[in-house]
Amino acid sequence: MSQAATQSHAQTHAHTHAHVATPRQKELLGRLAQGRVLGEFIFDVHTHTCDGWSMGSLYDGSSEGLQREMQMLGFSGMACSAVCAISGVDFERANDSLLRDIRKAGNRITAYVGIDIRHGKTLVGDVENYLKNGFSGGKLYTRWGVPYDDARYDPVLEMLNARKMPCLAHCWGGGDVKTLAGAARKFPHVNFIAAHTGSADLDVYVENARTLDNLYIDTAYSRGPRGLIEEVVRRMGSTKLLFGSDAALFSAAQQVGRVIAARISDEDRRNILGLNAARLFGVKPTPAV
Amino acid sequence: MPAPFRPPESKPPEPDMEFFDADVIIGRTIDQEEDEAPTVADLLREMDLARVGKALVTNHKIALSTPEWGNEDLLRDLAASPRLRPIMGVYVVNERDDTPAAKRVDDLVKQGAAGVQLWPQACGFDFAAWQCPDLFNAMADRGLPLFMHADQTNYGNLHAVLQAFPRLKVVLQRVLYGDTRRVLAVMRSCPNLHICTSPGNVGGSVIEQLDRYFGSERTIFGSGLFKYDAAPAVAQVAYTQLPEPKRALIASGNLNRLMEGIR
Ligand SMILES: [Zn+2]
Repeated sequence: MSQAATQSHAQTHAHTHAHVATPRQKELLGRLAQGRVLGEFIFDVHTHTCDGWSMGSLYDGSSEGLQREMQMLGFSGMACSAVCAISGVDFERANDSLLRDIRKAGNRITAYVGIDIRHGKTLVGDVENYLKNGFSGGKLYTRWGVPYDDARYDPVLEMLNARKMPCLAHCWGGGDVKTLAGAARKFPHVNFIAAHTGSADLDVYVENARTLDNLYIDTAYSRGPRGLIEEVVRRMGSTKLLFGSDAALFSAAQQVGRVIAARISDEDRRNILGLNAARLFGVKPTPAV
Repeated sequence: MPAPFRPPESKPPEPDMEFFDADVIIGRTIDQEEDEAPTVADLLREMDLARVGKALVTNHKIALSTPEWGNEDLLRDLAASPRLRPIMGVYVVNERDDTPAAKRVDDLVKQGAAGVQLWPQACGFDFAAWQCPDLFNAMADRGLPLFMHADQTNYGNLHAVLQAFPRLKVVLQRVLYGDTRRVLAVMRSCPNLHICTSPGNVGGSVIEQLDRYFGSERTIFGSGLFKYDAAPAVAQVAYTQLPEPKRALIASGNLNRLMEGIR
């Protein structure tokens, strides 16, 4: 085996085998196994209400259900969009429903307005109204077939840009991340979050998050493999990676467990779980106790 | 700025729930350096960290090689660890000799097998009643459970086998959340189907939904080590919004019951 091969092998090996859990990580793993409040500042940047969605009747997709799980886990906050607002089901009904939910929740939820690019002529005005009335970010989705850097997005992204609001975008692989990076270059005051890191083309996620100040990536991935989070941190550090669960589609407990299991430093884990998001969303990083 | 969540009502910490893992594979995958392959020592360390007490374990060699080689390694590797029991490999047709399926299964039970892991897709056979009826009958007779990843067959074939061999106990691992409707339908008509929790089967509140339809007796904790970490799977069960006795069934009770049924 060549010297270079030996070195790279030793590095990979170190990710999963040589890590020694810190006392804090052991404590968190213990709390996780007992179903207790975790006691870290945790902000989930990627959640959904699922009412009205075809798969939603299989889950508790209500905002109450989401909040119950977050409370059990001790999350301090979450940012949420309505699945049906982003999946072409019913832009108005779904965004309206989430708006009612966030009012009921007394601002415990930060809400992304689902920006359905095929909503039609009233899109810009409608999004503006939602932003005036309680939404504080945008959520984009690829299946509309319009790339994120397409000019049709410009008027709505300009509104987020003027308000310095964040924008989460579903991405499944490098193609989506590249078009989101195009949008990030056009709108420097929007902090974009590319979802589902590692779903495919990890290199593209990492490279764009590393080089673009206003592009972040999130952890949401139902089949996130062992070692993925470690690999991202090794390549780009922990300041651009954000914890996102995709709850209520996925179990938030399972998804946060991936971050807690990762063989990284306590500081990196805190950045990912909430400190990075606290800066992005303007939230004070106080752990729920 | 959003206000923080209201702190949850404090509840006394519960005594540690026992976790018994139904989905662990050790040994080398084809794209892995040999000395990176997870060993029993790695497994026990991971189990201790994630608070998993016991595990059923198979190895990649059973899928990639012959049952003889795979089983030999597995029994050697697990021999010193009372917390681990083997899920072994078996020929589905008489390839090397004429040993009847019943005798093959008897031998596995004598060697301490906790089940048989089948790899129809990987090993080029169908998961079908006509493929290995003697084997399915012999396993049913001995109460030896059959373990299989969901991507090794389709739900139509699974349903047909479960119906044709109603005493055969099947534990389906690595179910995908997008298949929840298929899973619900097969579970409804086949009381001999058990399904593992994560990885993949991580739909929000899916465990609660399964309980609503069928109770919690056929949902079984499985981590997917070492492709996946154990702690996320533990967390999914630990935070499930079900009464403690039901969570305990999922964490370990149901798998313990299956093990007690081997004779
Ligand atoms: Zn999502």
